[in-house]
Amino acid sequence: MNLPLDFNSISLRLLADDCPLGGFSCGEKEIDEWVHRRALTRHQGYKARVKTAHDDESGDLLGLYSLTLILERERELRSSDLFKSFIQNGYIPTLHFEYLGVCQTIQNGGLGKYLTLDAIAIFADMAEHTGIPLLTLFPLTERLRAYYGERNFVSYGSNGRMMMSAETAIRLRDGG
Amino acid sequence: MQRGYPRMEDDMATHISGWTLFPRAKPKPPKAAVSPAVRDALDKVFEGRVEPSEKLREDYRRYMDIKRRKAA
Repeated sequence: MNLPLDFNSISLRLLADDCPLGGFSCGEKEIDEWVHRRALTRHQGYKARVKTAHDDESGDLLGLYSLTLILERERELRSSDLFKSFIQNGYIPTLHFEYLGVCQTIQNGGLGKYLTLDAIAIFADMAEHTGIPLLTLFPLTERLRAYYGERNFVSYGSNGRMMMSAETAIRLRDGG
Repeated sequence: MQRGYPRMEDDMATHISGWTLFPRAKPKPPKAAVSPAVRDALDKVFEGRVEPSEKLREDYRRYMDIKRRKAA
């Protein structure tokens, strides 16, 4: 188990063109491949927005996550007044927590939690300003499903995704 | 119905010499059962009454502490 990180020397920023993505490895093949091959083009094309965590001194990439908008099938959810105004042709937009990866050498130090909460804080702000009703994600393992389940993400539908409501995120942010 | 003809087995009725005469609709897969706990959790989400869990609040407190420290 690694020691807790010194977050005073870690900065978050949006993915930059010269970010050293090639050397990143979190140990999860799907995420590493996405980081090496697709993260930059998707970020530059505004198909997803990627935020990276760096060591202030060395500039090393320590972790990253991406958010994007997806259309979820209404039939995967249940009809609700919360979403009614957003549904178009059977689809509802959600903010999707697409990928999250932490460098293997510093895993279990708290950076994954920090990045997750940063994404939830962004969701709370977006929900307040736009009304977007759901944050969704797809946990890659059952252990992660349990982890997110303890943090207000609820499994829904047949696609294995989980969701958090805007109300929960805003209450969390506002201390309610 | 195949009135006047001997009744054929299903497979023969649908496939003769490689032609599909009466394609049968594929049965839909059964919907996955939703456990009562998940149903209850979904109901709460849809009704907008999900209190942040203690673990989520604790994570958020740490996140905000770090942010404030860095901003100071």
